[in-house]
Amino acid sequence: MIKTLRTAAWLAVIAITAAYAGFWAQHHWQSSGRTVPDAPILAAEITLTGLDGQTRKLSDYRGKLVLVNFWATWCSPCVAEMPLLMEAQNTYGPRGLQVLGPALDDRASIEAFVQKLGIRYPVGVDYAQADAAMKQFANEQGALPYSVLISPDGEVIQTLLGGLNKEQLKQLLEPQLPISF
Amino acid sequence: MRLKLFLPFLLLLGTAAIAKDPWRKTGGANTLLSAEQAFALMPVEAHPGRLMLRWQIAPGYYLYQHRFQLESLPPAAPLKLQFPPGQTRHDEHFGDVITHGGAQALQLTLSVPVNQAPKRLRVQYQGCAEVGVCLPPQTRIVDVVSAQP
Repeated sequence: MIKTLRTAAWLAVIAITAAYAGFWAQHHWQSSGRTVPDAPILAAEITLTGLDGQTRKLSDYRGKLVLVNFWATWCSPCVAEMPLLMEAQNTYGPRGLQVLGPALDDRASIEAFVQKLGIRYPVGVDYAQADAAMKQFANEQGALPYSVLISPDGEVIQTLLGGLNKEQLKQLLEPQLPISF
Repeated sequence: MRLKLFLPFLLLLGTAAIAKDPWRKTGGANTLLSAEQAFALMPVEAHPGRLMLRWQIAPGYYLYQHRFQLESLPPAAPLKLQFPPGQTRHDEHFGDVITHGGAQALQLTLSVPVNQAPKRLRVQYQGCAEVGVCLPPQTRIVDVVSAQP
């Protein structure tokens, strides 16, 4: 009887441990289509034409940590993460972060969405421009959301395919930013 | 006794290794399929009184029902697709949507007057992968072929 109870207890511990490990692994691996360059790669110069009609270049932001986030209103995970990106811009902007959002969408949809969510970082409204830029960052399939983190020196730190939650954004950005006092 | 102490940890490592990896389902991030591969549109066939449109949808991918659009070329009377039952998903931003996937062939039927079937179609569709990425909208211009007797 005691031996049976002990066996059952061990099985319960193993089952709980295995379940926790599975949950942790899934959480860790989810949205982690990450690619880190083997050697330094200078980010390609890309152009962003905004809602205000102004054209900005990636090199205009040299000296800042830049997170280029390719998105579209027809992409649910993109829509889900954009408020978090806006929050990150607000939180880390004073420490040198700049989020850019080239959109693969029509202007009317982009404008309505940006206004609805109160997105204040520059978004791009030229579909062809965004598509060409995304392919320069090795996303040939055009899958979204797709983010590219670029150092203040203009080098690609990492590319990420899939949405990012708040914790993942923090883990991605904090180590790259100067410590705030 | 020592083995019993280490057994949970060994199982932890093993389980972590084989735990559900959503990227593995689609072959990993580096092997994400293109839209053409994930949603392969078969030749559109004309049968008496109807057209048949079929897609072979890869495992781990799905198409949004509301993103299908069909237009005859040159433009004529509006075309209305008939859909089989799909899967209802609740999306935080899009609300309840119907999707079609699950590693199966999706077959849509379009009723057309006999001898008035369009010869060419513009077909639009868009879908995503279960791992949480979406593929761009697709537009295909296809010629309708007569079904084999």
